[in-house]
Amino acid sequence: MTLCLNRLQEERKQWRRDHPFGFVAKPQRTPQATLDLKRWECAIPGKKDTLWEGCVLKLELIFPDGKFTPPLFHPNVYPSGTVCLSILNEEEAWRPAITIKQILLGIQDLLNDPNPESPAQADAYNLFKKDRPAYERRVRQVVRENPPM
Amino acid sequence: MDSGSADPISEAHALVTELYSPANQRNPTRINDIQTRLQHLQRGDHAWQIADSLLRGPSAHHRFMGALTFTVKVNVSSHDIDEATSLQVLEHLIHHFVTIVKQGEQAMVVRKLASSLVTLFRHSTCPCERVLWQVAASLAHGGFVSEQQAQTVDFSTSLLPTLDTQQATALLFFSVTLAEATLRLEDEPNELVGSALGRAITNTGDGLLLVQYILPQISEQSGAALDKQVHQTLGSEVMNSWKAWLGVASNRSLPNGDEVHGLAVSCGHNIIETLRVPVLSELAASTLTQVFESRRSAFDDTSIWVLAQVLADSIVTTHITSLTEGHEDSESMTYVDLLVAYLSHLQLKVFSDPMPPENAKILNVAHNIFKTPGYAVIDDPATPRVLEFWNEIAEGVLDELQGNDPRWQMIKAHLAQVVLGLFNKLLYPPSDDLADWSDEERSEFNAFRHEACDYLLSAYPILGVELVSVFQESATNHLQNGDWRGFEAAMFCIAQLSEAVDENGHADQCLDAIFGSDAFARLCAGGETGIPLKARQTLVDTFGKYESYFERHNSLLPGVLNILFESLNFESCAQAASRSFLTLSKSCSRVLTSELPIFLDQLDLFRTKPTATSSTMPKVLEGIATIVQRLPTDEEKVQTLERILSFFVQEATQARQEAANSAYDVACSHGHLILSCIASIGKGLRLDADEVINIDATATEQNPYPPSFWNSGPGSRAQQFIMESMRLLVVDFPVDSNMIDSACDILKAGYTESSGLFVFPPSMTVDFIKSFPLGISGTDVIMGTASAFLASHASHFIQIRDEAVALIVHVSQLFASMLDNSNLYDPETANAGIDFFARLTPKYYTVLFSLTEPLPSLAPNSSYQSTPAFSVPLHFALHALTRPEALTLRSASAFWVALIDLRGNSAEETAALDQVLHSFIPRLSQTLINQVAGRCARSDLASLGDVLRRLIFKKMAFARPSIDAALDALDLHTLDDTSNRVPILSQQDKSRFVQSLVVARGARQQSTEIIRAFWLKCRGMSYDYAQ
Repeated sequence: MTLCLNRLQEERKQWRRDHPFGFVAKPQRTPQATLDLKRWECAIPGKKDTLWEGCVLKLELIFPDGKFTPPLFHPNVYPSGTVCLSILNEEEAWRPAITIKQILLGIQDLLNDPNPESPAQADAYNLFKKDRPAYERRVRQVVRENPPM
Repeated sequence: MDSGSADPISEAHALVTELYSPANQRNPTRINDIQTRLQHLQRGDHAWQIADSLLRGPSAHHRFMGALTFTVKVNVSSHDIDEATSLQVLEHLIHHFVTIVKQGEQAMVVRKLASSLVTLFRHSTCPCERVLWQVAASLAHGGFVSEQQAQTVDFSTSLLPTLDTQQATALLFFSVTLAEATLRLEDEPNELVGSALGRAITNTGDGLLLVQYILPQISEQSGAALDKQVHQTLGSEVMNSWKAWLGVASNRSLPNGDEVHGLAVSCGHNIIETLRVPVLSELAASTLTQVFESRRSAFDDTSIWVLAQVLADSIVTTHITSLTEGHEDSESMTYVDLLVAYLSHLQLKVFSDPMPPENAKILNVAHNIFKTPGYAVIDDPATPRVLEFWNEIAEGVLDELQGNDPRWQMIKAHLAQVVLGLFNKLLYPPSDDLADWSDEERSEFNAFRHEACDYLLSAYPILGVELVSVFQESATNHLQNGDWRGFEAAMFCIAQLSEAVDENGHADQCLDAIFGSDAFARLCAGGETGIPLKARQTLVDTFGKYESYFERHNSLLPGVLNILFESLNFESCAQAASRSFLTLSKSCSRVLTSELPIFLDQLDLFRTKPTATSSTMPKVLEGIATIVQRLPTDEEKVQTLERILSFFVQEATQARQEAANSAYDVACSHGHLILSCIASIGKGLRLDADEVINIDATATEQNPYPPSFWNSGPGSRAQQFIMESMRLLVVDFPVDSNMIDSACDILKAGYTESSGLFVFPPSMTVDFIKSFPLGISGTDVIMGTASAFLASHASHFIQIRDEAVALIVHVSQLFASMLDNSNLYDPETANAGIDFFARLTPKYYTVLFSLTEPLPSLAPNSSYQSTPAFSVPLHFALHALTRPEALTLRSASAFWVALIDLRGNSAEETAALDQVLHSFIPRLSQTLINQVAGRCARSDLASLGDVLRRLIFKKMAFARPSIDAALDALDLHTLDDTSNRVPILSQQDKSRFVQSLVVARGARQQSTEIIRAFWLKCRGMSYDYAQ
């Protein structure tokens, strides 16, 4: 994959002009205080009227991988924090034209709508399959621990 | 076709009348029936005549339907219209167009007919090209004019001046429709629309000439001859037309591209001039802003120069200035958007040296936007917009300018001015104002504050520590005066700047001025009760963000921690306070030991408060334990720990009582709080990372549980407290996955230590793991703990052989029950159990394979009564490879990979291992081949392929015959066109598959591709993403 810095610069501008409410996406700073456009610090709010409402989750985007920091309790998030989502997978639906906005909205959708066909961590997956009330309790705990900024 | 109607034309007229009759408006069934019938007629043999007739109809509705009928008929007759028909229909359409315009038809009908004309134009048989010219000529002539005749009269100098306002408006409707349709054509397959697109783009120059002709007309006639409504309609159409033709002008196959582009840019100059025309100004601003965002090449130096004049001194400037004074409605935002679009277009170029006076004025206007009254985002949308520009500048300076660039100082001054302008916008609303805000408004305002801080961080490398000093002065003054809103805003900015200044200490002097002040000392002493919650929340958050500063200035810590403890009592501050307490305790633990008695007293107060929850209390305890760990002697540590832990035994007894009273939810949540607090103490007591014991070290005789201060000395009471709490909350207590998590954390806390409070007897882990029944939620965490336990003793595994055997036997028995009784099968236990074996195999294989006796305590009818215990996990892992659950299949694959890779420490050991593996290879090969031959899910191919690849590469001699046999046994068929069964795989396919894998020599990517291709062939090519 060739990273096109110009495109990422344009992404940055587009994001500034128009981004979904409550989301954050900004390139990380290098020790010299310049921007590293390949690594973005992002924040995804839990969708309204879902279990995840009221939280803001931090995500590191190193194109095209998204990684929750710290790792998130979710069936489709690997123990390392990496998100298992088809649009982030170069062998599946990822295309260079996919924007940060699409990625973050895709992950937000995934939060409340896990894909049981692609389990990535046993902890959340098993609870999701086996004991939904306990799963929901854990999610509520995650929400409490990740209040908005 | 028009079945059931003797006179379809009259019927169509009647249907349209009925369709719009007020009597039918509340009868959707009738409306539906009419529409269905009308659509039938519009597609029928008489559609052309119906369209013609309706266009001469008595009402605008009839004529609208006439135009629509033309469009429908053209669309449904795409194969029936030849060139002659096309020309004939074109003549009709143009004739009608000219007529209805002459008659002063309503815009709705004129637009619809313009759209019908474009539909015909894009038809492949339509021969005309310069249709705009032709329609203009026809309008001027008052009847149809052929394309050839039209082109004998010059379009811009002779035709356009003859058009009256109505004709010009109609021509613009048509022009916009044609341009927008042309843009859509660009997105369609060239083989389908190539000819139409080619003809359409020849109209670009004419479309722009029309724009260029109309613009001065409407500018000159402003407020005079033209009615305001007509003026705005013309203005809107001409600007839409410019936008649309600009898009077409960027088409690479456009003839005379440069000339047309020049024309488009020149139209832009005229549009910029219309910003001065009051009735068109807002429209022009909105159009220009959109074009700045999408077609930046539409502007040249002249455009920018002209726009600078307008922005610096015109009604546009007046609008923005009024907005900043609070006198304008939000519609004036259009002008702010244009201002920002202009500045963003120029970026750093706006700071040219010398700076043109216009740009200086524009920048001044931009700075004044921060003076707009009201809260940013909520009442003032302009501030966030202009801040975007300053953020871009701050980010761009470092990348694009050298420090010695003459513009550096100038830009620095502007960036500093922004900081000063922004400060008032960051003031958090007082509770009265906040009460009126919705949750969304609060979030939006908070998001703005963070955007503003993002700007501060971008500006810091340019402004340096002066930036912090601005906020420091503000914070000190406001603190002194008790202005908490000002203090909160200043501290908020200082907190966000910690990222840039905490570690390097650059701003220490500024921070000293705040935290060393008398006013702050009074705050620490707890005398200040008037501090509002928001200011308190921001302050405690700031403490946590300056851990390095407080490490360097540890004399301030007691006071700071006092504020933190005090803040734990307030719900809105407790989270931030506990987080900051933990951060500071960790970074400054060495100097805080003398404060422990005070902290313990504070803890005693805090733990009875409603804010002591599972989100706050574990953090506080971890912080305290981190400090305890720094006490010089174990004796000192144990005193503190006993005091804390004895409390949890009481609490656990109480939770047990709650469970006994059937208050299960309360009991579990109570139990979870206790266990998570104890686990946090374990985390805090953990030694520094560089002192962690090496679990891979080869110390053969190490005692896994040597007598120590903590298990047999004075510390044993504290350890007993933990074990007692665990016992109370695990044995005969409701099973809860959160509690299991925390209990496992307690056990794991000591696994990386050689001795300490949390280093428990190995039997404790084993008993804990064995105490849970098959199928409970949390099995994966329990088994993960078992794996961690074995890993922590791997270097001296002989010393815990009995415990290892007990765990192996326990899990194998679970496996045997699931194999014997499929109803008991639990995917979580299957996955977690196999994962446990995959992890233990490399280190504990000698323990595992020494279990040659059958498992004890099996069900009497078990099929594994005479099976050696070691092979039960292998049977189970084989079965797991056929399971549909991805995690189980993945861990089973990992187990087989571990087994195939396993090498003994001696030749005898390796031979013995091979013997075990070889006895499983035939069934393993058969399972793998069946799965990769299209049975498994695509997503499982990677893990199954990994096993097959290694099997072939590492165990070729033994595996090859089994794999060949498994392939031979494959009997996959499909049906051909005549429904005969035909085999999917030939013998050649099968042998080529194995041969390719052999040639790949274990290369991962190559093998994966071979296996994937084989799976696709077996499954059918419709599963190929590339198809």
